[in-house]
Amino acid sequence: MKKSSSNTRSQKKRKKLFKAVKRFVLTPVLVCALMYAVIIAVGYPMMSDAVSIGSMLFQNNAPSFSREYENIFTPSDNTGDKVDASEVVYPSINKQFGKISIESADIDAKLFFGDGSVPLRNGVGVYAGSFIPGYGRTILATGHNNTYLNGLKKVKKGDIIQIRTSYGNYEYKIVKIAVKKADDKTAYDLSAKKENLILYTCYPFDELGLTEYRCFVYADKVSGPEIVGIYE
Amino acid sequence: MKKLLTLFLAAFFAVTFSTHAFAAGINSAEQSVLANMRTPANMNGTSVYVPDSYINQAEARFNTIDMTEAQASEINSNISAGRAFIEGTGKSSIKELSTEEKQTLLSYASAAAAVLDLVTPAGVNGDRVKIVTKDGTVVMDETENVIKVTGSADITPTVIAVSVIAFLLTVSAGVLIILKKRRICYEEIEQ
Amino acid sequence: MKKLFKKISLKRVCYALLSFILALTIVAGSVSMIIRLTFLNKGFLSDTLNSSNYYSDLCVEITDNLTDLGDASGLDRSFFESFVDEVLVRKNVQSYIDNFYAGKELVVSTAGFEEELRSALNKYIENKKIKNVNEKNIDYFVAKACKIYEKSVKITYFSSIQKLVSKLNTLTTVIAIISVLISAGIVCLLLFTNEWKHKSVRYLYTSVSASGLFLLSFPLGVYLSGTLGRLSILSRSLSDMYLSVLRGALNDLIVFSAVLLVVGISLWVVHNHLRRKAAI
Repeated sequence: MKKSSSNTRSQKKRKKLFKAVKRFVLTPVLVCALMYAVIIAVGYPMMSDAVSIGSMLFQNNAPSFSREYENIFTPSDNTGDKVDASEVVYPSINKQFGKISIESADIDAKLFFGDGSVPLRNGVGVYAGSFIPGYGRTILATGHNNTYLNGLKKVKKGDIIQIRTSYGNYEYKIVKIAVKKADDKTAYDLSAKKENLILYTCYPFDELGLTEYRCFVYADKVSGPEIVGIYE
Repeated sequence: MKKLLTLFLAAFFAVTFSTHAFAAGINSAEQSVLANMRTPANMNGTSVYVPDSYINQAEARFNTIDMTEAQASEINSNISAGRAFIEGTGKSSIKELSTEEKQTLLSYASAAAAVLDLVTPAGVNGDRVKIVTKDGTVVMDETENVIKVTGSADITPTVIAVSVIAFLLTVSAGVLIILKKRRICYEEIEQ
Repeated sequence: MKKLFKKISLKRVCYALLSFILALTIVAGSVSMIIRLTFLNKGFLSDTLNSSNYYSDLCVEITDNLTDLGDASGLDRSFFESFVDEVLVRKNVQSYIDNFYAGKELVVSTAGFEEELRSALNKYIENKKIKNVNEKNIDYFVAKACKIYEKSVKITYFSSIQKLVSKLNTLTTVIAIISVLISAGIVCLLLFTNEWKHKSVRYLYTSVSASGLFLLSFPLGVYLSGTLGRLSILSRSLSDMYLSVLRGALNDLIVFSAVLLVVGISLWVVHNHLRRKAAI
């Protein structure tokens, strides 16, 4: 008899406790969840576009503020005619993938993919809207005229430009040198199907301040492996 | 030559979240996207093309990734939808599009980009348009001009960059969302 | 009996609904207040910028960008090393913020910067004994440098959201007032229409603590997910600024929620006290 009454009391206590927990914790949590549900249901149609664009503002990791660059260039001795695309690691922007030199002009600089501030601070940059050596298309490269491409003032027709990459070594013969306005779109052809190198820098050389002209050096490929098997 | 195109279209090229070093090569899926990018939009009788520089950048990017058929199909459907939209506006150039129309155009880009995990970071210096992958790999770092300042003056922009952001402070939810109206840069070529 | 049951449940539903609406209005009012205290508060932004690394990072970035321009202009890299004047940058940024909140045109005066640059250039030309200086090229260079300075001082996105600020000002005021009025009305209804005061207080407890939990869950979720640190901003100064502002707002949310939770617990204590009293 005593046992059953104590059981009933403990059951009552448990019930009371459950009721208290329910009221003190569960109800506010449930109301909170319900508020989220209502707000999302009402706001979603208005916010879906914002959320999708908003999601584009976040990366998977913290952004880097570094101005350092990655070097993927390891010297190669390939001077053959061909290299398979499967052996070529195509560089991404701001990576050093080679070296460029013009012996006659004392030019010897690192070659980067992309022509933003990182490449131009550290060497010569290949415009990402053009191509890498061996691709069979236009290579449009640039550098500052008071640093890495200052020697461009010494080049002349017939001089050889050498480019070394991890997948092969290339030579280009200068066929034309021209000074054109920077906004002259006839200065380059990015749709050309023939491999050609255009190297440019600001003109006149050794001038203080900004100028609106560029010195363009045009060169045709003489040797170096063609990248084959690009289009699978 | 007039002005055309857009980061909107250019954005499609920048794909995937993978940072693996892939061997150069353009697979059939990537080729189909490049072919679609080369198809002009007919805006009121004027053929509007994506400039070679953008298509080339797409090709460069495709050389560093391995796009799947499914990804290509989604990108292509967004390119086609975007093209159909601008053709349907009755305007002769992208420049003439209203802010609302540009935003609609942007929504096609953001839809594709969201699938492809692209990010357009803020705080990019000057008039640069920059796209990175969610892993921080720079996919596009473009200025208004193909020919850069290596000692030169400003050039009349051939590309228009539009960058807008809005803070949407959803008051009732207490949710802060940053809405960035991404830069749309375009150049158009009249044939 | 059935009728009575129906009557009771309808009453309960009404109270539950009122309690839910009260929770929503508390959240709306709190968020409006926080927005007013943070994003719409000039003092908050200025203080945040002063206490973060914004200005020193901004000066480093301006120097980097000007050095890049110097590379393209035949200047030694050392030229811009200690050129950027943080005092001037602070003055210009503060004036930009003042204009932003005053709804004025967001212009940056580069006169001071240009003057300093031209004077430094003249010294440089003199020291290096440079002859044949083309004034046109120098003017281009100075104009471009001023543009870099102007763009750096202008806070990214502020021009786009300036109109939103005045709209938000009005909107948050209206929402705050409406929230207070509705909340007061609901509290009165709950307190004066229920014969059992402890039950009224329990409804109030539910509303206040639910809104406290709601306000707490958002910043906690953001902090725990690490979302803020992944915000794709490539400028260190801008990142500093936005992160400090967002953190400030989230911290305010936490403070508001803590206050609400304390009030909620107090209401729970009062509820228990009244319930015991009612039982006697």
